[in-house]
Amino acid sequence: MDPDFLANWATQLRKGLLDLCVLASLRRDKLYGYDIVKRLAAGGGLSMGEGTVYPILSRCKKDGLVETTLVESAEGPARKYYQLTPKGRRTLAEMVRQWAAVRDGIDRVTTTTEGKP
Amino acid sequence: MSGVATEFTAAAVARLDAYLSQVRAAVAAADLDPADVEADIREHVAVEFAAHARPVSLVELEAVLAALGPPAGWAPALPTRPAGGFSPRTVLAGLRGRAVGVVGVLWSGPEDWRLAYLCLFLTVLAIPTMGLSLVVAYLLGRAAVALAAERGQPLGARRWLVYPPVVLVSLPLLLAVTLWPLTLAPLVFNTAVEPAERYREHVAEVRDDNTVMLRHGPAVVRLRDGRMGQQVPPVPLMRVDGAWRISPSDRTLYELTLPALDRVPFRSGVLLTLFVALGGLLLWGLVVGVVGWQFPRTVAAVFFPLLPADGRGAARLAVGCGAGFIVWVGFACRLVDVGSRWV
Repeated sequence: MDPDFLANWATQLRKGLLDLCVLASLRRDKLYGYDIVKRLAAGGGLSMGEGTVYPILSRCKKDGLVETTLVESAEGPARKYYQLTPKGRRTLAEMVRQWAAVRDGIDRVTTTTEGKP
Repeated sequence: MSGVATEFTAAAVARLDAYLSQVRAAVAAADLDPADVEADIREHVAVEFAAHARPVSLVELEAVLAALGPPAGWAPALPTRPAGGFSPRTVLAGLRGRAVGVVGVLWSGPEDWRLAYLCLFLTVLAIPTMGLSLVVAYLLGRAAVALAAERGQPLGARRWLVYPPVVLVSLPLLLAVTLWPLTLAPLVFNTAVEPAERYREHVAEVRDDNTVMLRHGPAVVRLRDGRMGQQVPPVPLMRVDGAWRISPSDRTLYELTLPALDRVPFRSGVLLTLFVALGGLLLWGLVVGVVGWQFPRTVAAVFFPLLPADGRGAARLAVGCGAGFIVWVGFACRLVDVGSRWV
């Protein structure tokens, strides 16, 4: 298998799921951008450029899925905290449901074809 | 902004600016707010170096930027154009999309440069708007300066766009505040040249036989003559029927006297006006210097970028004007003394 193909496929796979991960990271907490980036980076398996998260946050904000509040910080500049809007919560729930369906489908396919030539 | 601003070396600042510029260009076409994305990047970098004791070097910044990824990666992939044939509707839609894109790029370009360009545009617009837009340009200029300071960035080349409206407002304001005592000069001048006018008022009546009747006696006229100098020829006066007059034969001499009298008090008036204005300026300079000395930051902020914020110049101004004013008072006392001897 061409390694470039695999790398590209893995990148596309992660990219498609990154929106879900970003919204999911905000499910419980109100977080600022840097914190979201570091949490996702620490999560493992998602190895993506830190810069890919911010445009997603920006787009989610534009779509009304998240909202921001500026909070003064004693350690530096004011921080922009992101939190889910009600629309964002509904969207996240739907994304999780669809992801579970995809994951189960893939699991079924990979499990039934596992070991077969 | 609160808290401690992160400091960067000049090379790191230039690198961050270049990175942000590339990111802005990348996201402008992706229907994202470049200012929003830029704020995210700046916040990310600032948080990354929040505990940094020394200015962030280029190498340290490069590591963070590398983790953020290439600028092109900030723009999500644009949706591909659906396949289809050309029709007037699709062509129009395409043109409209392009136009919206161009306006979007212009409007959502680099925020700090947008402010600077807007400043210059409004400054030029001040010519047809009789200076009205200059006030807005001034406010935007101050906002651009404050924004750069808040971000810890030097203004750099942007100062050529931002400073003109700021200076165009600050300089006249500074001149008005420091030189306003000069506006009292006309009042002083009018008072100084008044004796000549009063001299004319001495004429009570010019009769048909060309006799000039005076309101006052010869003492007054002589006194005025003496004050006006030697150029004034004496005018013979006669007292007839209890009234002082100038004979018709001397009327021409009297009329020739008047312009001569005018010239002398005019020159004296100018000198007196300059002297009084100098005193006013010295006294006001002392006041301004003390205020600038005690509140250097406030004064520097009001007259930005013309005055330094250290207050040393204001202290020198106060001392210089104070000393000058003491000397001026000495001269003024001497002049008053001489004047009282005239009267």
